[in-house]
Amino acid sequence: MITRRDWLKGVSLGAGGVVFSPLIRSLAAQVEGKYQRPKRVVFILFDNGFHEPGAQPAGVPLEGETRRELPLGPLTLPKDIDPFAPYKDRMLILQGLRGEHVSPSHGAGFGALTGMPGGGGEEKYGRVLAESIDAALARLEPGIFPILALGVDPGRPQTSTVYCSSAWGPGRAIPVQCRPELAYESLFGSTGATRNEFVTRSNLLDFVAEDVKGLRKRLAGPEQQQLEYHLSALESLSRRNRLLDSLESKGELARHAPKRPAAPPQLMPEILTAQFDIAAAALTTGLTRAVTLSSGLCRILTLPYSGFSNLGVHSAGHNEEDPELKMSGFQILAMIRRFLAERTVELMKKLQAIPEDGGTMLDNTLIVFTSDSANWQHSDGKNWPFVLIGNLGGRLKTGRLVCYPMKTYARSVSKHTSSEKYLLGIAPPTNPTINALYCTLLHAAGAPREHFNLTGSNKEADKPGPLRELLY
Amino acid sequence: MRWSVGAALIVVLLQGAPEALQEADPRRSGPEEGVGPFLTKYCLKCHGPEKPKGKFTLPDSGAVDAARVPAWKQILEKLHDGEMPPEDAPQPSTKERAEALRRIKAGLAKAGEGAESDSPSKGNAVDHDALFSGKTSAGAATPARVWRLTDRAYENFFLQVAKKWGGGRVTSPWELTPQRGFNDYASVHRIDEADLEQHLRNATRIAHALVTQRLAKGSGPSELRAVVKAGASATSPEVQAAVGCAFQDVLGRRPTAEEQARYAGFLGKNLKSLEPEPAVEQILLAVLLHPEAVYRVEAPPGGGTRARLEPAELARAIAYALTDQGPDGALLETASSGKLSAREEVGAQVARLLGDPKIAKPRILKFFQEYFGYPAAVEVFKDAPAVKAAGLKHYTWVPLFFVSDTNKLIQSVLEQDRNVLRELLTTSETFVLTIPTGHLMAEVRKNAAEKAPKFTNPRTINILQIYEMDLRPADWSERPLALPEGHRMGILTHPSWLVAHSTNFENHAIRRGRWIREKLLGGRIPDVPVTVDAQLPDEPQSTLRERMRVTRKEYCWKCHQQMDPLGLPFERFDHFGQYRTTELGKPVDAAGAILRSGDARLDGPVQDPFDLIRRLAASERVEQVFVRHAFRFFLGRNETLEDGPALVEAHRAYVSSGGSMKALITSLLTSDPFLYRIQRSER
Repeated sequence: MITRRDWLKGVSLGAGGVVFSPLIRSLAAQVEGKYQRPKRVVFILFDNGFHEPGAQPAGVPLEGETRRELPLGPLTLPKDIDPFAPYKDRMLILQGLRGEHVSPSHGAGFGALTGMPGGGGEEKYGRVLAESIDAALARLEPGIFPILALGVDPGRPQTSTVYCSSAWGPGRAIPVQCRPELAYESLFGSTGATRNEFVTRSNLLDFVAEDVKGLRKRLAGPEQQQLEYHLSALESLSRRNRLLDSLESKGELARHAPKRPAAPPQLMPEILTAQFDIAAAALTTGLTRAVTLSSGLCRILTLPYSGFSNLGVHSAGHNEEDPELKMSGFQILAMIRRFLAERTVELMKKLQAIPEDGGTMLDNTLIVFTSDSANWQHSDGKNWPFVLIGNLGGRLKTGRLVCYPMKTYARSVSKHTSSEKYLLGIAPPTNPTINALYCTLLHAAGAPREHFNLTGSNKEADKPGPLRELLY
Repeated sequence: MRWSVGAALIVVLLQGAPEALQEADPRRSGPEEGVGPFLTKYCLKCHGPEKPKGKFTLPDSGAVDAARVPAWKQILEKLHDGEMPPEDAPQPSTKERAEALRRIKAGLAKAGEGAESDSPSKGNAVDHDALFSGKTSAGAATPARVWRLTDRAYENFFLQVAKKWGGGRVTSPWELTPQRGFNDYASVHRIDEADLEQHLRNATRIAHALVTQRLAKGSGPSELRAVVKAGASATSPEVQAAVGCAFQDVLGRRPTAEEQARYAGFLGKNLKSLEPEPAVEQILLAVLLHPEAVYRVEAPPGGGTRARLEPAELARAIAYALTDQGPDGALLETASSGKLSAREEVGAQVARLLGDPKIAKPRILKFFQEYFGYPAAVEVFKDAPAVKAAGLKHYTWVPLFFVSDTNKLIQSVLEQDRNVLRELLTTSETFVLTIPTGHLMAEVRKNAAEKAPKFTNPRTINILQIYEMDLRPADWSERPLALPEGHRMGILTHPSWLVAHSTNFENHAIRRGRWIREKLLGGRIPDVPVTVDAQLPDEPQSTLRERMRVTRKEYCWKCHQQMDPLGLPFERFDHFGQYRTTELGKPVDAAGAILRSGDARLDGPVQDPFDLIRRLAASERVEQVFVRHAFRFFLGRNETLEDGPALVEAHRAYVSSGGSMKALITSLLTSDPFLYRIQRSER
């Protein structure tokens, strides 16, 4: 019988919880002087694909027979990501990674960050088969909130909690909060909260836990286990409130909390802005060291990108025309990517303003900017563009564009429109997968492993270990 | 000792000497718990330590242990789904397989692990013929459990409290997410940190409203006002009364003696450290956060073994089985008077709820929605070029209208309550334009009232085109209308079902076939192996049937033969649900077949979807599979062999009543599995 203590230790990772084995591995690596963990990681995901032209610097062909590595300095970034231009020396653009195995068409669901196939059809949005890379990095040095997962559901501002991108392990999806005001409350307390409220709430949660424990005695087996989640959640919230009380008493919360919006934001640009503000505040206060922001929730939904366009999310991915804006769907998607890049840069500036270890907080941060849908809405995963910012303590070779070997293919955007063609990257089966990139990040961060979530025959898709060409 | 082929030989040689075998494997915990002999007989040859097939090696011993939980789960799933042993290997008997599954499940449960086979998508794993064999089994019961309230039930529960205390409607922290099978199994849902945070917010809103808007102004329950007024000097009886009042208002019962003492202590302590209002707010919050406010608690009292549900728990179980509300006054009264301990009275209460048209029973429609899966049509996006390519007159696509028409059709068939399943599968009628949006419905009515020559709304015109109805506004009514003869037959040919089982660009014959295999024939389809690149070739000039040639490869066909021939007859329709005779300029081939159904009378080729449906609708096996699904929905779990008699009885009730859904539900809700709970370890 697994004891409750074992279970909590090994499976659950509530606020403040620690999973020991990776830490031990990491400490061992540090002793050997090989690794420096990033103090912070930020994953920015967006739907409908990272179109190749939106990631490829101007004038550099996508197609090439061998791997090319070009310094970013003299290159011009495409408009989608040119807000990152001042940070070129910290940037790494990757083209040609593969992700066919996670079926990214219409969004890969959990597969985008786990690199684990969730099956075809709708199953990939619900099957949580493995730990995701953001969680794997987050658990190396967890904050009060081990991971802050925020989301935006286009056209549905009322959506609150969803599960879509991240997981601590099989069956352990991480909730994503889509409503900024609720995320704010969790992190900084209600408006006008006094220190006493955190303590009072903690006492209440401890009291209520006794009722759950009493009920637990009347059950056995998996039914009893169901209540363990409930109990663990109560304990975690209680512990978090005590930690928040401590921060509040030092004035830390008030110093960094963003201004709380008067009313819950309704339009996508406002929601995104609020979520980025909250993320920045949570990182700068040290409430969390890991943020995942999922714009579009790792799948294709039908409502519009309200505030950007009245065209439905799906229609935009099919490059239909927005008659009001007189823009094509792809132009709208580029506009949204640029908006996300701008918000990311604002977050980076806030981190850069705070000194840390002889540098700034930004120096100790890794940002991963990519789509949950590879290179376009109906992607077959044969190219998955990434932008990374941050060098993981000097381990990552940044300031470069790395293009793995690729051919290109011009295909119709929509099955029924033949006039417009889109140039897609087609990586050969010998190119590394997104799992290899995630494995590389873990390696550089002090948690090396042979593969990241590649099992069975998929294991042979990549060589074991990190992508050496990306590391010093 | 690790497993080895050598070990297999030892087993063969020592069959008459079990002690010796036990001695050879000291970790084996005895035949009552281990599955060593079973694995040795059927699995070891391929999955021993030497070059294991599929790179899967059996655990070191036959005793299910916590250390190898993932491996044991994998074994369980493969055995459960019938994937292992492979077809060309010696097969265990049904009894052997069931016993091995039982032992592995028991071992996993002991380790605190649920089994994937308990998930809603695995319901068909229990052998159909064994279930309906007519063998009796004593002591069928559902494991003691908690069952999280549905989102609607949660919101209604708190609305009842808010009516007394203020605070208005709250939003449920969770939504039921669509799953394969049914969405609301007791074992599927749990409450985690994000849920709890939202629940705490909801509770705070309601408790805060009572304290600040009512108690502070001298209204609200007198027991609570007295404590607010007295503060730290509140007497013990005043504190006790306040606790009793909070319990009664929220949970509809008095606290137990233990609860009374604990909660009074909590209130007393808070009154000493906080102002009176926040102190009272904390006790209200504590009761609002009580497990009974978020779960149906269904556990034998005092941790007993097999026992009937307590009357109050049973009243909740009945109410939540049919409605999204807690028990009504009559049910509560029956429970408190002790009458619910008689099965007949349970039946009478169920019949009362089912028979009273004033009591909304959304769960019954919900069952059919989840069973047929047609509401998913609203999630299937069709872009403008696709609408144009399908020849629809206007660029507008709103499948919600078809879903609404199907809802109405089901409700209508339920009102008749005769041969419900057969009617739903074979009816030649549909409701039309039962549009759930106000302004469109107003326009339809206006067109009809003004005797307009034709409907004017583009969406309405498209709907009628798909239905092939030349309907004039004057002929529209809220009654069902006949569909073109020979072009439609029941829900499986309704645009809502066809669209729900289509993709953005085309039909999904595989998904349609899978639905029939699982929901009507009770078959099992394994999940898509993770190594399979499940893509059809991109050939615009080929029909779907032609492109599906790739599923005929030997490796694929093993599973696809169970789906494709059942789904391809629906090629008679395009992916908008339009009847068609040609595709890409060629005559549509709508032939298919029923293969390996488990009932030889059903098997054979079919010439089109109508031939297929007619045959399925006349089948007793299909009727039984339908009953199995109803069991799962209303019991919130998969059936086991022990539930066989309850299923046989439910099927008998359905048949003898002329196909009455009310009779079927009443039978299920008065069965032992519904009324009794048992501790896991007793099973």
